[in-house]
Amino acid sequence: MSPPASPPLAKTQTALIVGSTAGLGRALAEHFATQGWDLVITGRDDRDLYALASDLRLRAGVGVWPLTLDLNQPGCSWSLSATLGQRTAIQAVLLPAGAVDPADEMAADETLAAGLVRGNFLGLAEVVRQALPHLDTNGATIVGFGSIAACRGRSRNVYYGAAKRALAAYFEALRHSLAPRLVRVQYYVLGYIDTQLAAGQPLRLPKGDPHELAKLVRRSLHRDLGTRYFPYWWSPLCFALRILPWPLFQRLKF
Amino acid sequence: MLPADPITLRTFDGGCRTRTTVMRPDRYRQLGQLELPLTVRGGGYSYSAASFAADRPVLDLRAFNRVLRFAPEAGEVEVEAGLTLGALLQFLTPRGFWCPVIPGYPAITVGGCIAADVHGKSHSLHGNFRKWTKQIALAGLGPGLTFCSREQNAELFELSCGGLGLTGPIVRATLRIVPLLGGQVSTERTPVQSVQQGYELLRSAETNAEFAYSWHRPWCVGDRSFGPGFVFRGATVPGTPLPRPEEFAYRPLAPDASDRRLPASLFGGPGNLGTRAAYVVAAAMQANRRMMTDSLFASLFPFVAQAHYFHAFGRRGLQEVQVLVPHVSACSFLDELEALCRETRPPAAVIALKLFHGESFALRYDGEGLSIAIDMARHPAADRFLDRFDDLCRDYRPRLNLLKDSRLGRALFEHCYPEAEDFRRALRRNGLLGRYGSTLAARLGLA
Repeated sequence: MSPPASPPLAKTQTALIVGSTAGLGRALAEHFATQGWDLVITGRDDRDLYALASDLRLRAGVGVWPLTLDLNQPGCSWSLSATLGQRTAIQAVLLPAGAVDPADEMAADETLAAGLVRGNFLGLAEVVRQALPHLDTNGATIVGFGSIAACRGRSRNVYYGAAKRALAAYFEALRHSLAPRLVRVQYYVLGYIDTQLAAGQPLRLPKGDPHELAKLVRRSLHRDLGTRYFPYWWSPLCFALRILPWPLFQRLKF
Repeated sequence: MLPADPITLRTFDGGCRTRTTVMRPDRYRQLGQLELPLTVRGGGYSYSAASFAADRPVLDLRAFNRVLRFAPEAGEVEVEAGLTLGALLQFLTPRGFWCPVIPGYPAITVGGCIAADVHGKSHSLHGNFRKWTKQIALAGLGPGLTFCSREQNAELFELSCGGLGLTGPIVRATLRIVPLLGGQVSTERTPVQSVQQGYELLRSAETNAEFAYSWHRPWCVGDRSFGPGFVFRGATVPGTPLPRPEEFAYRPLAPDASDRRLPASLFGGPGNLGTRAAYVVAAAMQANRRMMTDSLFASLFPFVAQAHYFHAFGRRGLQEVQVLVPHVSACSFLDELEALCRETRPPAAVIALKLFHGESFALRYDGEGLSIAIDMARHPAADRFLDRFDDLCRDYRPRLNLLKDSRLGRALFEHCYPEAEDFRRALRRNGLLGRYGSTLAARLGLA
């Protein structure tokens, strides 16, 4: 398949979705497309990316520009800027991309650790940097997705949790720095979501529906949310976990 | 290895229940990481345990459900095989196209339709699903997808169509589509006094109806007739407005129909009299309703609106047998079936007849003749009937619908399917024997 041309000057609303080929990213892409949004979608694997692009174009009848993008590769987002072009106005940047690894422990090797930090934090920050000049000056929203794994460090998901905590700090900084502009910055802290990330794990609490989350994200785009938990009941749980005294926390196995 | 979740799966008829694990890949690269052996699962609506087994994980491909290419000028649509029939028609019919071989429930996947080589209500006109399948792509045979059609990897194509998922996961399919003339279906409903009369009427209607089938109440009315019911003959009405996508919205039944089952069956046992009375009243109320016009969706999928039919079989579920008897012996088979029903009085709910006009091959439920399906409650009287029904099948050697009968044994299967050994040999020749399997395949000695 030939690389897509840059999207034309937007007449309808356009969203950039990074990591759109599976899980939450795909749910977001499908929901935004059914609501008539044009999309710039990215993913690592052309097979998934072009299949999704065809499906959205055919079924939702919207404009879709797929772009192969591997967040683990430094400089990955240079091609993004070229695709968006100087004339495209983006109204929403959604960043559901992320990666976990079962070997993510203290003893994880450097390559794995670096990959997790890039895929869950640095790569996303790079995308935001590239997308900022293309945001609609009349108002746009940047949405990041964190994890309850960053609530408190533990012996599992070590680098994933650390990267997500860095991402939370980055989004706080981003919100602060973009406050004077008409750009809203939202950050969702996600509990268990019914995607591949949660598959095969013995979870003690129910999983959230990615399609419900996609609807919530679109409905809330024009609100100044700051940080929000999904499912919402993770908010008090994370608060309780954060204030749990160390002698008790160190005994928890999860 | 993909992560797998523990799950309990049950057949649609409620006859088989297994604890296993399920993997739900949603990316193409994950299809290259599969560890065998596996069971391939589509919508999970088969009456027999074709989509799970206790000794191997289940591969659920419903995330592969995208429309890839729509070429109306070529009469083709390419989709991922996890797409449901309901979603396929929701896409095609508002654009003025469809694939006319549609089995009775919209949550069945395209891959499931191919692996089961399903039929619709118009077999004598449109054949089985294979006839409308131009190309499939299988995973698990090499580093990428293996494309099979009548021209390319033809043996694999033929084995996969009706191959019960034993040739591997079907990931993509290119289907033949034709213009849809209208969004409404007109159906003529003709009362008949017996299954024999229904069969005669179906044969006379074969040439002038787009679809034709009959439903009979499995009762003996005195000594005179067996199976009063209705013959339905219909066609799409040209020029009526095409369906709108929202007409295809529905709440799917759970794949084991267990979501709202009644505590006990209304067919057989104490509930039977009440059910008969309700039948009689409903039939009397609709006696003058000869012509019906319905939406395409309601006509194709009557059980969406009548899901209570499955719930009425109670928690133990239902049993179905479906056989295809050549025309030359169909009348005597129906007579013997009548005698058997008079003798054993099975707790049956309905007998459905359809005409088939095709060719039998490998494990496909296809051929030339009369298809007879009988639904009944799980009840000791049903077991007595089915034991004798098996004897009848031994005598007549009809094609048996392997996906409808969850108690069918290997001996009767091999007796009625002399091609079974050829199918096994072909699987072995292609290095597929034992790689993919299911409880059904193990029961029939195919895995």
